[in-house]
Amino acid sequence: MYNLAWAVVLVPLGACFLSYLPEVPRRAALFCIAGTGVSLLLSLVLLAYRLQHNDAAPYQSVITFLTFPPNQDLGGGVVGDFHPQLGVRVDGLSAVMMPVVALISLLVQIHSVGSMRGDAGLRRHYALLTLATFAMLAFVSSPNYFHLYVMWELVAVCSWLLMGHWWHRPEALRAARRAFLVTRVGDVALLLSLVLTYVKFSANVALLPNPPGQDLNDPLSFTLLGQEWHRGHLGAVAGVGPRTLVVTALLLLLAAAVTSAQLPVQSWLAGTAEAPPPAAALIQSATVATMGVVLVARAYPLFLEVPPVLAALAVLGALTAVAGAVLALTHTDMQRIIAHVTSSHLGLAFVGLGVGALSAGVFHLFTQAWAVALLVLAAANVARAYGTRDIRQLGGAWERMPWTSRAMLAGCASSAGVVLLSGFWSLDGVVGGVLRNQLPNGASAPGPVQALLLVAALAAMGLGALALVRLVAVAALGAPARRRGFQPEKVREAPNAMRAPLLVLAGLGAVVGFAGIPGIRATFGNVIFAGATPQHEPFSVVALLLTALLGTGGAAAGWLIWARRDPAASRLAARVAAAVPLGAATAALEPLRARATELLITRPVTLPTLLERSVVDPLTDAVADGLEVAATGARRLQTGRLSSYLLTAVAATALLALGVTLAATGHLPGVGASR
Amino acid sequence: MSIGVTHVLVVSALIFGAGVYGVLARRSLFGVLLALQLMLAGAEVALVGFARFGDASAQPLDGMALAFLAILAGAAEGVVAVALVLLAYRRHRTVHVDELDKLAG
Amino acid sequence: MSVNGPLFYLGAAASLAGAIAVVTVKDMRSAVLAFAGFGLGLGLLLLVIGADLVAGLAVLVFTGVVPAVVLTGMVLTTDPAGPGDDAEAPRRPMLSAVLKRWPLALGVAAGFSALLIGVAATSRGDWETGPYPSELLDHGTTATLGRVLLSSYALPFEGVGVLLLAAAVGATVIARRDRMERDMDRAERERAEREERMRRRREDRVRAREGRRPGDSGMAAALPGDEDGG
Repeated sequence: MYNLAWAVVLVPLGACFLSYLPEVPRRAALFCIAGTGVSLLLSLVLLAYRLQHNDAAPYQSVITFLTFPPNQDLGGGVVGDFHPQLGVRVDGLSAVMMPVVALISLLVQIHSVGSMRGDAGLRRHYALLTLATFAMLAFVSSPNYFHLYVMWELVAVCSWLLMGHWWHRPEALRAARRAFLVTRVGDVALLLSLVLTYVKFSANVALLPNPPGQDLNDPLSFTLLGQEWHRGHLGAVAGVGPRTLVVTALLLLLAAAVTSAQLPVQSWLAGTAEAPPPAAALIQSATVATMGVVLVARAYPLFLEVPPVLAALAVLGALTAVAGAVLALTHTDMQRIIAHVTSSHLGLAFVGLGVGALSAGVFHLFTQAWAVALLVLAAANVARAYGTRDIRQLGGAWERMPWTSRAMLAGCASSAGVVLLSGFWSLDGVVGGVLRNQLPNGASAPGPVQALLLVAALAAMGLGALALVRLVAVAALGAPARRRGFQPEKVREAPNAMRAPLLVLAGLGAVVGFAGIPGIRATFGNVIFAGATPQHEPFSVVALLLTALLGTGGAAAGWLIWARRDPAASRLAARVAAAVPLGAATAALEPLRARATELLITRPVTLPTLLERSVVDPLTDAVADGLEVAATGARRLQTGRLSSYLLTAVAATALLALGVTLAATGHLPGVGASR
Repeated sequence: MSIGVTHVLVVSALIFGAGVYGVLARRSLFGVLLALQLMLAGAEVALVGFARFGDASAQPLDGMALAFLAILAGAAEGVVAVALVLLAYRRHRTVHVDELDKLAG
Repeated sequence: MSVNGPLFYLGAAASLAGAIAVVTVKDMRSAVLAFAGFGLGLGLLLLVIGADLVAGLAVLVFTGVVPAVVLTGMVLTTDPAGPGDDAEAPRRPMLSAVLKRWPLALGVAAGFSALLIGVAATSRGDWETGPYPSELLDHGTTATLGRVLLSSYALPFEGVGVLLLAAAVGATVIARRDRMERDMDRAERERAEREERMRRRREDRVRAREGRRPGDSGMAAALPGDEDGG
């Protein structure tokens, strides 16, 4: 039954390949949608099955691709038994995340039917979407480090290709390239940590008895590593000390932070504004941005051994959350606002992970996925209808595009943490985790850190709520700005294909939250947990109150300021904004940061291109030119004249006879009879 | 010095060499044809020489048999070659070796 | 029995002289004659060595068949409007006519011969020689060779017969003008006749205009510029 996971992962890949079969791109789109739908159904079945057998051990099934002879010393003292293995792992985390990825991908593809209609690269778009789906599904269900790394890279490549879909636009190319290059830094960190883990642990793992049913031990498998990390912390593994664990954890932190758009590299996510909206939705909500959180969740046993790193992760997440919320307040491009909100919420997820509330952190990721996807798609609908993404020029969508704007409102409310919607419950979980501040193995963050985290989380929640309401209010209410060529009467509701996903997401966003109410049995915390047994986090009234206050209060304040345009509220807001010029400062910093990214990352990475152009290209050109000269010279043999051909034939025969004679008499070294 | 196989071989080599020169230097196709026959004749002389001076116990005169058949085959080849020359003449109106330059693509 | 020395050298000299003449004389007909002479010399040489049947066949072929066929071909390929039957002269001036080809050819030929002679000379003592059966020398090799040809080598013998038949038929087929060539020849002939007729008609008209008697050559009236009335 667990082997359904193979089908879940591979069906989108098959759909990706099959999408090149039909002649009509629209039929290719149907193939992809069907494939993703099948994958979704299977993943739901798998989820149900896993929920039933929740207390069983995680199921792993791998295929080994290469096998080296055992005990082969490859030099450097490393025993040559690295066996690349790819496979599936079904446990709580993967069983829950797979339907999420599949469903969001399906909805995004349905949205593409409407929004990408008539696009020249439609088939490519769908193929890449399904490929990214496959990669992400494989990522969340990866059984070992190697598989995870391979799929990490594949997801990154897909997101780069998706972002650069409209490659004839230089802004899109630039954004895609910047996103790709910035996340490569995370890649390097991940690879280093992988190598470090392998080098340190493989010798020890080879000595362990093989698991039943497999003929070799994979030193990178998560099941094994979970034990090995703990033993390493205890000093039971040769060559591994606390320093190793800290370094590995820091590398993983770097990788997760870069990919999930944390401070200071959060602006690459804003580049998804240049991508086709469905792709942007997928990237932000289900694939690239969430990879960091899933990575930390997978490697949680390691992080548990090094609490300071966890605390650092939480602090980073908190700072990002605040910065993201502030930036969302200052931007005017709809997609950029949403991107900053996403990074802010990812920061909050990291906060949850950092204080030991693994289930809360992942649950926050879970709920935000729906909300973010909804927001991106709704904003895309509005932008398509109005022809601009600038919220200062938008308005009046409430009347003219009722479904879209109401769905957008639902998404914003959920994301902001308005009471009883899903965001509320997940934010409550995070705040509760901060308050409780207890890792599963008993350690906890120091007091000042906890205070900082709490303040930052609450501030981020409030500001984030403000930003989200601002988005909806300014975009949906009021009247649109007058622009050349724009006729407000022409604005109509989006077609069905672009509307339906929004409604589904809004509904899900509202309902799903109830799965994570802490303290109630059979909730999220039972499925995804840190340590050996699920922790039943107690119901924290304080957390509930704080979340309600800031979430709903922030939303209400935002409504007052921007929707009602209450003069008193606006004056207050303006005075606050003037007193704490956070917004202006952060806004000013951003171009600086962009420039730094460009200098530090983009430019050095292009050095190999220079090398290629100056060394490799002239070399290959010289080879080609030499061949051409030789060929031109050889062509002169082809005179077409009988006499010259006769001459060539007879002369060649003479030489051949000479050669044969010399060889037969032994005068040619190494050929023929010896003398 | 009594005539031995070497003498015959030298003669055959010289006839063959004359034939090679003719094939390369003659400007008329018929000249090339005749020179080709010379080359064949040289080989036949060598064959006969080996049959005469070699070990005759196992297969007597097989070299001469081969030379016999080779001369006949050479005659057949000469006839066909002349027919080909006629065809080429009709196409290109020349039997000059250098003027036949349509062999290149 | 040993080979007759002087006769051997005579036959060798005759065949070599003929061979060299074939490849050096400029006139093709003389080359064919030289080839016939070569055939005679070759026959003498082979006879002296003791290959009677082969010698006879060599004379037949090299003095009879090959010159006859080549002469026939030469006759059929003489250009009626060209400079006689000198097929050596190229139609248009070309590089090879200016550039002498014979040094290179001589080099290659000499090299080839030197290689063969060198092999023969250096392996002088290594050939497997044996006594030549005396009855063959006394009564000639014809009977034995005939028996060998018809018993051991019967298949190649018959095969060569088939080859000769195929060559004869094939040569006929190749040299036959095919339909297209026949049509082209016919068209060309008709065109030539038509041109001839028109030319004569034009001449008659011109002559009639000028009032001269038919049959007069009227060469002066055939100058360009007088035709515009015709």
